[in-house]
Amino acid sequence: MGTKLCMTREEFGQRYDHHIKEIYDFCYYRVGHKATAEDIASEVFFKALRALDRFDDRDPAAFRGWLFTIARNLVNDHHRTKKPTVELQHVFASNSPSAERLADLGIDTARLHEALKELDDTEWEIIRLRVWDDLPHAEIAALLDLSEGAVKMRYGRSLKKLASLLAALLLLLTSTHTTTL
Amino acid sequence: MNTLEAIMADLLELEPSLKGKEPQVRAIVAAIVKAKPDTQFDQTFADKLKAQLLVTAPDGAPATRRAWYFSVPAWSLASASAAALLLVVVTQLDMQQNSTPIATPHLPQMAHLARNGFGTLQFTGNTPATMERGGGGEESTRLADDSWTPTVYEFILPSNWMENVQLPTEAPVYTVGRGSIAADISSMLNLDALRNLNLSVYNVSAENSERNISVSYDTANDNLSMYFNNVLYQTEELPTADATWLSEEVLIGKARQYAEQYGIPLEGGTSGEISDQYLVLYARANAQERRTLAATIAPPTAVTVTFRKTIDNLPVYRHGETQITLTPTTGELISLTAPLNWHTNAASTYATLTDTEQIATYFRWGGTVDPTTWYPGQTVIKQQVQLEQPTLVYNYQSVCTEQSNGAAQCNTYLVPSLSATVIPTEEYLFRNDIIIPLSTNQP
Repeated sequence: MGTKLCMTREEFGQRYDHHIKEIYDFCYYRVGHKATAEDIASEVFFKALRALDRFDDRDPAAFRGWLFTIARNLVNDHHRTKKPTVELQHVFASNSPSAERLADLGIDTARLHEALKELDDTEWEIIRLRVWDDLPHAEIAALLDLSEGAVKMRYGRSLKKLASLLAALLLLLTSTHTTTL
Repeated sequence: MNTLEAIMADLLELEPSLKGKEPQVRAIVAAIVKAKPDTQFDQTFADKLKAQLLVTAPDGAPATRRAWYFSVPAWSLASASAAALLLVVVTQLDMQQNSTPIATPHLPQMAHLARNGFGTLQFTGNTPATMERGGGGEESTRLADDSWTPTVYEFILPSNWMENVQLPTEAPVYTVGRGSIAADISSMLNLDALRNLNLSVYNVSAENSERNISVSYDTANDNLSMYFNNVLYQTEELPTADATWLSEEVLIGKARQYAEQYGIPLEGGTSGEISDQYLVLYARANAQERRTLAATIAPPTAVTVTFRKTIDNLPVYRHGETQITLTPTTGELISLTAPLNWHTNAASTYATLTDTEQIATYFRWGGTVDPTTWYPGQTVIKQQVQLEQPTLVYNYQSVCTEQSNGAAQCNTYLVPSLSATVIPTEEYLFRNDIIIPLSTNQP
């Protein structure tokens, strides 16, 4: 009787150590609130633990993807009742280190933000998953319930859109700044 | 190729017009790459969470999940027609302030079955018990998950279990010989100490009736106390650094001595409560030499619980005519660590929480409830109520099963719970405490 678990307590602890920060970070990027991110990250691992007997794959990458999937679902649940708190303006807030670096190059973060707002939610999410969470296309595909080919295509489109936005922004910058950037 | 360079290459390929403006593009992309918010990752949070998870996690794979949950003792359902010796080892926990908090809301898990004073235990896999209803008063309101069931393990002792018991060579401070399994449970529960070892002897007659005398050794005070049906009859001092008191024969002999002294018949009569203590190990040898050991959940000496300030829309089960429905919100998280002080007198055992502004409360002997079952034939009314700030309490619960002789056999345990007083309104005039158990039988 009973169900065989796929890993020991020690193994689970090791995997926890390996993934807790990136899972927490993933949550924080999307809720922008420390306590809430901790809350969700906790629930991710408790859910994983409760469902461990249903997880038969010992592949670490699969386990990681599974955790991200749980995390994304919980974040989505959170956002159903709460407005997402992490917006692009937080990324390029005027007092952020990034803003200072951009200002050194004469780039107005407000305009950059306006440009990036042209990205829709999915495009921004794909860029964020790739750039911030450093997830490979395959894991992004699993997370978004898309094929890997579709993710690559959307990522390419997102980058192309970003490129065109940057081109327009830089053209604007060139016309308004006389200093050599 | 790192992420920045990969994105740069992709961008320049996708938008040739960006060529020649690489410094700006690189700055923007670098900003996106590097401008990840500071997530304020807290290693202390991670460590605490890990500790909670590992308390919950089964130990060892492959493992039988069932073994990590609790079940009703089979012996309580078994025929009592055979003469049996019921050996009850009761331990009570240390009341030290600097104890390690138990992880909540999940129940601690039984583990290290091979490392105990009895030898390798075999889990019987019995089904969870259901709770009996009863009692009332200020504790008449309960909230619990529908799947909530009492927390009882049942194990089969190896036939040579007495040989495996390692008696201490001196008066124990934290761990005592036959109580080593209790100590082991204690360590699993992150409890840092055991103070009392109580040994109770049940003599069940062939007529299926029983009386009990319990002999309790208090390691804190080096004295031996005798209870008859949970009423303290006598306390006598015992010499320290003497392990002989731990022998079964000595204690049984003491029990018989007390019985004779007080004229208590060891046969006939009615069955009584097993114990008013809370970490209880039961061992029984019946006519077939089958010994069963069970343990109820032990109370920690302190507990840390995190809950939200605002609690509503949780199902509240209440005796009587009303179901109170609350709605959970994302109120401020409160983390509360409350040390417990335990007190025992002849009439009851109870705990108080101290060193916190949210000082709560008490536990009383008696009064079992079923938080998951409604009284039949009563109207269910859903109402919104407002609660006062909840306090952390330990809520006394017990599970009783009816034996073949009609007597109730009860196991007792405590459930870490939140207690919040219902603020009376015009719509809701009954002032009741809502008791919210934080433990379920499933992690």
